Amino acid sequence: MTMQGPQESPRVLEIGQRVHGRVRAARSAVAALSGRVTQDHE
Amino acid sequence: MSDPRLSIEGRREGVEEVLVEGRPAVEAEISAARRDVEDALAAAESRLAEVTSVSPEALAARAAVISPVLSGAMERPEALLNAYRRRFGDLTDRRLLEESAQVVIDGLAGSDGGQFAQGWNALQGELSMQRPPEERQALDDRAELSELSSYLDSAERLVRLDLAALEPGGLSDGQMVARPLPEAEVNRYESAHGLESSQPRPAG
Repeated sequence: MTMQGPQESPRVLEIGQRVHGRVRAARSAVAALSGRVTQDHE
Repeated sequence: MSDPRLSIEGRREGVEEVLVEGRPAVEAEISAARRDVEDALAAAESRLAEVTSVSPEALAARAAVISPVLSGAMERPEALLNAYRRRFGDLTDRRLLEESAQVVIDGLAGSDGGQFAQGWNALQGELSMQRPPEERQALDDRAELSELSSYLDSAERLVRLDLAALEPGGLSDGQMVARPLPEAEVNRYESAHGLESSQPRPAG
């Protein structure tokens, strides 16, 4: 008898990847704003 | 020569303009991610309720049969452990015993409830592989989504702090001290799940 537990379902994996993509997009947008603010200071 | 105060004021306005223009895009990503997680968590809860559903009539009928264990649970909580081990395969009995165990844990809180809770949790862990596959799947999905929700909480805190850092006043001392924690949580989650870091690479 195998005792291997189930992994998260493909649907949950997909949501995890989507949320991660949105986090990356949000942080990239903040970095882009940071770049613009720095430019404005120069 | 220009008045430096005007120049400082001009820069401040320029920064605020950039932030007013750019902030909605950041907020939109976080809000959309929040909706994704909340919808998925609600679906996982619903799925779990579906696969562990027992009719009230069945619960009442079995409660009458195992009432000696249930009614003596506060005085002899170890009987709950024994019954749980033996009747784990029966969903109705399992549900009744789990609810009783929670009452015992709450009722003994502050006395020896901690010891019972420890034994109970250990037994649940030991028996968890005997749950039907669809129930384990639903539990795993819910656990994974809860972790995803915590990751998003940390990411949101981090993003808000990084936005605040761009404001003319910058971060307060408290905000600077607070930042490493959500950053570490975000890094830990991404690394544990084999995801590319969300930390933007420096331009250049």
